[in-house]
Amino acid sequence: MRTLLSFLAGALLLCEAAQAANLPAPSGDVILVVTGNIENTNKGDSAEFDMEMLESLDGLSKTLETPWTDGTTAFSGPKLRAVLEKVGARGSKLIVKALNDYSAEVPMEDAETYDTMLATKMNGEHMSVRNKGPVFLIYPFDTNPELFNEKYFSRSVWQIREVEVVE
Amino acid sequence: MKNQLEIGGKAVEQAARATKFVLAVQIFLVCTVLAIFSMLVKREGELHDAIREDAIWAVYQLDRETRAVFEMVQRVSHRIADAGVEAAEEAVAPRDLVTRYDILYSRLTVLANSKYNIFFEQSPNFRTRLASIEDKILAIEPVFNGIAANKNYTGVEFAPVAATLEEIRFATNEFLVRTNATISEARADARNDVFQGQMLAFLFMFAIVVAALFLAFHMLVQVRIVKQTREGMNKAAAEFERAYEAAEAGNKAKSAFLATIGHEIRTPLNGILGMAELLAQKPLPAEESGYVRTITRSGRALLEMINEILDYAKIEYGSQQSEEIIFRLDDLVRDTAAVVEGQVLEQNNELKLHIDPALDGAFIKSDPTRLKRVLLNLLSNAVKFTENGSVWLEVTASNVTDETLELNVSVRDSGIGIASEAQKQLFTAFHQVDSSISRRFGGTGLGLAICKQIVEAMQGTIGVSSTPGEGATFSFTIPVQRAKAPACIPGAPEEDAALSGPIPRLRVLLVEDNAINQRVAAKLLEKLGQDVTIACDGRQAIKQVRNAAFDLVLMDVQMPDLDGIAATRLIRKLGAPFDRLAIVAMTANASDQDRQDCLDAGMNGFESKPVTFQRFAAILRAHGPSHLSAIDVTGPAITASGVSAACEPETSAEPDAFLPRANVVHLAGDETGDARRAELLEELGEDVFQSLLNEFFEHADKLVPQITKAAAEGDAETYDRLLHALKGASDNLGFTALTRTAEALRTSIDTPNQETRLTVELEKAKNRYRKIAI
Repeated sequence: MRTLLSFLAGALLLCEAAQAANLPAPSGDVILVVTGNIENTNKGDSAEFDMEMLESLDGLSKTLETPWTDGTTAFSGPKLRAVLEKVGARGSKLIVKALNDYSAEVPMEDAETYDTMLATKMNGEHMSVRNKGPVFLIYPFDTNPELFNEKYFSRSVWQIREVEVVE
Repeated sequence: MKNQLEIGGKAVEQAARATKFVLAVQIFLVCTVLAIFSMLVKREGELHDAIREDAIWAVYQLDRETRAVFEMVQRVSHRIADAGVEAAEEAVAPRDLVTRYDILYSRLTVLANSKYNIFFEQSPNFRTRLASIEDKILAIEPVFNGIAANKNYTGVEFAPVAATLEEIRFATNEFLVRTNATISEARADARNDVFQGQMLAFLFMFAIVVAALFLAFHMLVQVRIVKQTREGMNKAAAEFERAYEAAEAGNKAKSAFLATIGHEIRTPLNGILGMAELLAQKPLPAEESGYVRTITRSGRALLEMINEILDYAKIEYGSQQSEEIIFRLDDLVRDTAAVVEGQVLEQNNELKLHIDPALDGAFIKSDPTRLKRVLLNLLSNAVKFTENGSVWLEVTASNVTDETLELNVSVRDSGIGIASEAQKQLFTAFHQVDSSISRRFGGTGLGLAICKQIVEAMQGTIGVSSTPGEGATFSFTIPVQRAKAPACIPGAPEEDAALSGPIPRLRVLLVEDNAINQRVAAKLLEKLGQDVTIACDGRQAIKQVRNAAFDLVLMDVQMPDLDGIAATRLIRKLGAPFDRLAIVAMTANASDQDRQDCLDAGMNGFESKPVTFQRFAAILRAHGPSHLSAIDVTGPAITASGVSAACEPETSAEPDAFLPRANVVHLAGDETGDARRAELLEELGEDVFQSLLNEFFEHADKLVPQITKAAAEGDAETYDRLLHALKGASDNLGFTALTRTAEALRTSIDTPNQETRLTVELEKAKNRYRKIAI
């Protein structure tokens, strides 16, 4: 609870700061768009990210097993939380949409409680669309084995195109 | 009864076996069910269903993405055909088209995931289908790679791509339909499996329930059986109890019968013996003398037998209480040996006595009466069955500690011996080695049974070893307590003086409330040359003691108002020199407790009533200061051998043991009384004796109606006092039956026929006296 509060306080402070200097526009190819109830934008009501912007955020690396990969696989990328902070997201859930129009609802707590990652690299390589790229939502199955079930498998969206923050 | 127990026992056994079996079945069933459930859970755990669902989802996505790419390609190719490449590029960005293809491509990698192998390998078709789809998707890859590189549609041939995609679309559609069918089948199978498993589990559950029900039923049956068994057992126990009670009642009746018969026989027998003795004192011709001796001997044998039977009956019912008295062991042994001396001489035997030096002069605490009884029995048996031979009496101690020791007594003879098969039955009641023995040697066969009972009651053991023709050894061992010499018993040298030394002349205060007893005691003491002063009760005694100097106080214990014990305490309280005044108790009650009470009160000695002439002499010797002038008293009794130590408890409890004739036979009942009267007659002279008797009868004649009156008025105190007086006096004059009757009447004021009973006994006593007086 305390972490949640401090996080919210931090988020508010960030929002204040972001109001003044809004998000910079991406210089490379846009690979992720955050829409919905967000404070910071760089294109209309949405915030666009290129690879460079994503990788500049607070990130982490994990080596773990997933149902979709053979053996252990290394993933790295920004924390979902960091991306949401960056855009000043305020809402109860996220709708994570894939390139193929697949989508999943992800409660905000999943970003707050767990070290969920918007992976941009698999085994040290950027992921192509052909290989579940460019962004893959990875839950910490290694540190939180209780997440290893269908409920979280369905939230683990790959080929992510957009994250919509819903009230 | 036994049957009930057996049936109960069998039922319980059967029930226990059945329960074990049912329990085993239960355990087996539970294990099986557990196994089935774990199997089901494991199958669930394998996520087969989930994988199947994933697989079909993946195949569906493949089909969907194929369609999406196909539609997009068609749109582009139509647009190109309709409006040219640029319009097409505007309608569908080349990048989007490439992405669409990339997504389709990515589906291949998803399907290639190894976890689907379990599923796809179920049918070889799947792999081939997938492989051909993959081939076709990869076949059009260069086209999309080109678009991605050029970022436009210039020069791209979409027709073959569309055709290929259409083929892929058919293939994926087919694949999806097949997969779905397969999965449906698999799902149905799985469901069936689960159902079967569940059915199996259910069956086992049912079996368990049935077994549990059976167990419950079984337990109900068992409870009923146990209940029945318990009832049976209770019934059996009640029957046992009834049988036991009946047996006991029978035994009690038997012993009551024995006691009555014995008593009834004893009374006339005593008459016969008494007459025979009187007759023996007359000058008779030799032949008649022989007859009289035979009568006497036969009578005594009969009396002995009856006494034994009565004793056995008494011991068997525990009515004979044991005592714990301190006494000198070697004296007891010697006295007992002395008793059979006459018999020994008659049979021309030799009696050899060996007492462990450690026991010489030692005092022990035990029951001397019983010990003597056993010893006497073994000795007289040994003497009886030995002729012209030897009898050895050996007394040793073992396991000696500071407080206890084990007394081992063995009596060996060189007599006829006992056959080994007969030895076992020797200690059984009413058993003799063979019936000819009783004809030849007499006896009831009870002696050894009594010995065994006595020894066992004293926590000891008794046994026999014998070789026929060479003699027998009877031995017993009893644990006894070691004790110090009691204060009132003088040491050995004094003892000798007490036995045979001169009698000192003392100033004696006789405290006695009963007039007859006063006279008897006073006469005996005067005969012994004493200065006698009489006090009638405790208060007078104290007054007298303070007013005049006495050397010895003979104190009756039971007196009205202030009894002997209280009076002694008060005298002791007076202080010097009264604290050293010799006070000896005289009482008809001779129990341990009475002795202790007397000693506790500060008395120096204890005498059982009636006190004999010899006992008076012994008391005087024991308590007389040696410096006092002694008078010479001579008499046959005083110098008689076999007289025991002064105030030795065990002997004082048995006054008849001092009588000259008592050495041979245990005298009982009126015979003791006759002896008492004979003694009084001897010591006091006929005139005094007669006047005493007359006085007693006169007194008694008055007492009887007074007693009857007190009883009628319900005056318990007077009733008891009068009976006590009558009893004391008649005891002193040796009217044993009258004494007993008076004592018996004291127990209850409501005893029927008091007057008749007393009168009858009184008249008997008068007759007896007259007979003796003839």
